[in-house]
Amino acid sequence: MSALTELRVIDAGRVPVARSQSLWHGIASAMRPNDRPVLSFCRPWGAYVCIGLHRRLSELDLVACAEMGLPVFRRQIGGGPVYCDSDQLFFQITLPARRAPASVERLYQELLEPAAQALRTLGLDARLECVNEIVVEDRKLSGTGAGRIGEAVTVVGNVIFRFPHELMARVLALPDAARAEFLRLMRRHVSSLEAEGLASVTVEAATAALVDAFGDALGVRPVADEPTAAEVRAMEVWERRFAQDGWLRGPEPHAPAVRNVKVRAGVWLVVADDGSFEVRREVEEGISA
Amino acid sequence: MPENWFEVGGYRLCSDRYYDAERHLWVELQPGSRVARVGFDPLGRETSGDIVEVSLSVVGTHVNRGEPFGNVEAAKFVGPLQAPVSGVVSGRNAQVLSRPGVLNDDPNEAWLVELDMADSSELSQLLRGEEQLRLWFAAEIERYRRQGAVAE
Repeated sequence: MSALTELRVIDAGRVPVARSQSLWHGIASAMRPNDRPVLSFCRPWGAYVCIGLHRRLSELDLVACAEMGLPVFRRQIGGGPVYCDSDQLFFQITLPARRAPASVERLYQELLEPAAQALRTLGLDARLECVNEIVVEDRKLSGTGAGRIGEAVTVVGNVIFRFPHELMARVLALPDAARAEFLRLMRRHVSSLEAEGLASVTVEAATAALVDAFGDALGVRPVADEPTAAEVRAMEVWERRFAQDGWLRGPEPHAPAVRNVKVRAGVWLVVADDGSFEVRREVEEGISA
Repeated sequence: MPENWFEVGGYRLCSDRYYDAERHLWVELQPGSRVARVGFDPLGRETSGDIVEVSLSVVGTHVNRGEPFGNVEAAKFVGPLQAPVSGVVSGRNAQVLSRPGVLNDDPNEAWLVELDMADSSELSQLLRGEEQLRLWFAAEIERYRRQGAVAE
């Protein structure tokens, strides 16, 4: 009965950097087909870089990452390299795969729209765009991604309180001129609560807005909870996996390395082998060219 | 349309292939061998979104039915490819690995892996034959349309 009426809310608070990834990988791995959905939250104690399952480590300037003391993790879901730190609140909605919408597009529509609603509650004119991008006007407000892990589907995102565009630009392996252009585009297209004039919003307020929005959207009652022993064991398994060189290297790269560096949905920096670059914009409804 | 191919709701299927109803993958036996070629059926491809990345288990890997033999990525969603039959990966489609987008163009042609089947009796758990496939696929199209997962 409770599987249909309750939403477990696991707020892990501030956690070690590896736990900020293993938390939701573990919750998903331990989920069984009849379990309740879980909305989880965490913030990492420190900064790190995280790269999607299929992306190449060579997209990162690993020397710069090391000099900056940034560990690198590979996640089981998609997307490109991202800079993560304690000024971001990570949220994840995880549910049994058989209860998830049947297409990727519907999955994002149903499970990211509540996040956009929560940002509206906080005072932003946020909306979902380009399948999985949460924006205000033409500025990205949240990094998102999703995947099936075991018997569960998880959709992840973050609330960005403030964002260090320079550090994000430094961790990418780009020629200097391309890096400068990437930084310019990031400043233009990647925003934060602080940049939108909402520096006063607290983590607690953002968490509460997300809990309310997901509870309403899923038609379930949020119930505060702690990870089970099985979930903690699964998190520890993931942390050991994250530490393995083979996992960090990722699947064997097959396709030619693509240097289309995404700034936000519809805005890309295309970098050629000789270091030259151009900006590519895909104009869709609501995006200025 | 080639012999043994037919359409259901605008999607092409082949009566000689086996179909995994749960995972929306097709299985095509290679003549004179235990090798089964595996690919997405058209609904499996469509509901996955536009595929941009594929990773496949290396040749020699044993997978049991239901276990992953790789992953596909579309719109930052990563989903496992689960084996429709048990076997050892004996081939991978190099074209799919180098240009994953070919899966979007024609999933009926763009196979993923070849599995040297461990137990051909597992094929009995799959669907085959035009009559059976028409009933199943029409019901699946209707189910997906009700969910808004494919276009009306």
